[in-house]
Amino acid sequence: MDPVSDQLRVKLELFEGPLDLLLHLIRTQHIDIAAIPIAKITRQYLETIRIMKELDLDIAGEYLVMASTLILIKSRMLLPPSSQGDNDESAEVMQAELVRRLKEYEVFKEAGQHLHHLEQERQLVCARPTDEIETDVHTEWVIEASLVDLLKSLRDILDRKQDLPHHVVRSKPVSVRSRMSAILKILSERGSVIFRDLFSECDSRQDIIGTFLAVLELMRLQAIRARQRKMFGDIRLVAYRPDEVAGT
Amino acid sequence: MRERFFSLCEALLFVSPEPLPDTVIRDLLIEEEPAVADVFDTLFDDFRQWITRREGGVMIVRVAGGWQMVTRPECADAVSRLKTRRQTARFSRAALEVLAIIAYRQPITTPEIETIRGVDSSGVLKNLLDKKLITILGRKKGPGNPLLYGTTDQFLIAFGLDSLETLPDLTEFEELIPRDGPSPGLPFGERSEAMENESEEKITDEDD
Repeated sequence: MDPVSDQLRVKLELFEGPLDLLLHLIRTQHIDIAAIPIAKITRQYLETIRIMKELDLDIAGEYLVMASTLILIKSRMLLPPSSQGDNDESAEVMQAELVRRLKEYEVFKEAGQHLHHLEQERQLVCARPTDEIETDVHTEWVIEASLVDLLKSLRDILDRKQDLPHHVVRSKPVSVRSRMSAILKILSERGSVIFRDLFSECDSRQDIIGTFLAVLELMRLQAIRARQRKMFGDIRLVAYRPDEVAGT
Repeated sequence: MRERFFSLCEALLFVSPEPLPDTVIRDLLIEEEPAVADVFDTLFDDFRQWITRREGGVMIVRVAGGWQMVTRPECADAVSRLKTRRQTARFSRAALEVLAIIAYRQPITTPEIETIRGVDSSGVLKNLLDKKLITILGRKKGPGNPLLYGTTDQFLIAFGLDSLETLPDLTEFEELIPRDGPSPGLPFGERSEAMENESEEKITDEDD
């Protein structure tokens, strides 16, 4: 058995998938990633899978898919170019795609390591635990508005705009999705918005309902919070994490 | 006014478990002391310098777009002995990979993440959602309308980042990768092994 396989015996659990395993095989043998000796790597890869089976490790389906890809590339390389059907990708194309994926994955693997360093650094400092004190950046608006409050507010808005048409024909229908992004945009610009003000430019009941549904959906997704200064008071919508909305 | 400003800033940062954005500190202080409005930025810089010079047990760091009071790294050992729940590495390699992919490629769907990693990532994603490190940003238009994920402020805080822009450019990682030379083996795996050993030692210490 070649020495690579021996090393693998102890490190199997550490692989994050077929790409990770392939990278390991390539890197430990100092092979140029752009010129992978497919036959050799395929043999080592299959040998690893065999050891994994021997050790009764769960072999995810992805490992087997990669195995068949490697075998396919290897077999296509053996065929003279003329005998390949026009629809089949050539071994070179398949190998180039594999190299592209390996390189892409490797970059993110490095990025993950970087995050690991950052996490270790951050763990050297300690902030107050988050669950100890409820704070809110809009300190005055401390009461969490309930669905009942929101519905009551919606009723007021609808009452005040009774003369609005139920439906306005538009080139594009009002989607809840677009309403959601509009609300998030307002919040990222202003930090917060009075619930009632969201509806000031609505010109149909359909429009109002759409905006209302968008608010409910954003609350469900925990993107925004609805807050009141006092019970039954105005409702103010604040971004759940104001900076994140601005940052994206 | 200066002393009052310093004590108010310190008090606010001490109490807040979340990073406080400048605007919030500013608003709260102006309410207390309207004269602060014109000189806030200068005074706040002075305050930070004052905290640094004092070399106390805490410092003020910039994280997730705000300011947070944290203990100094020099105190890490003592602080960690005080805490009942030991912090070991909280993120598996899989979690870190997925977080890295989301951080750089957001908004991104599960299939897109799995294509890059070459392996099923749904379990990791669920775990990260539960920990509120990632969030659903919406749905991608297309077959099946898959959910789009992005990182949260919680993510920035966990990794001590001010914003996503503080992360190095992806090309910098490419440069770190040896193109044909020897690999340092599996530094990641070895490190986590080392950390496991360390935590084991700590446990035996406790038993003594």
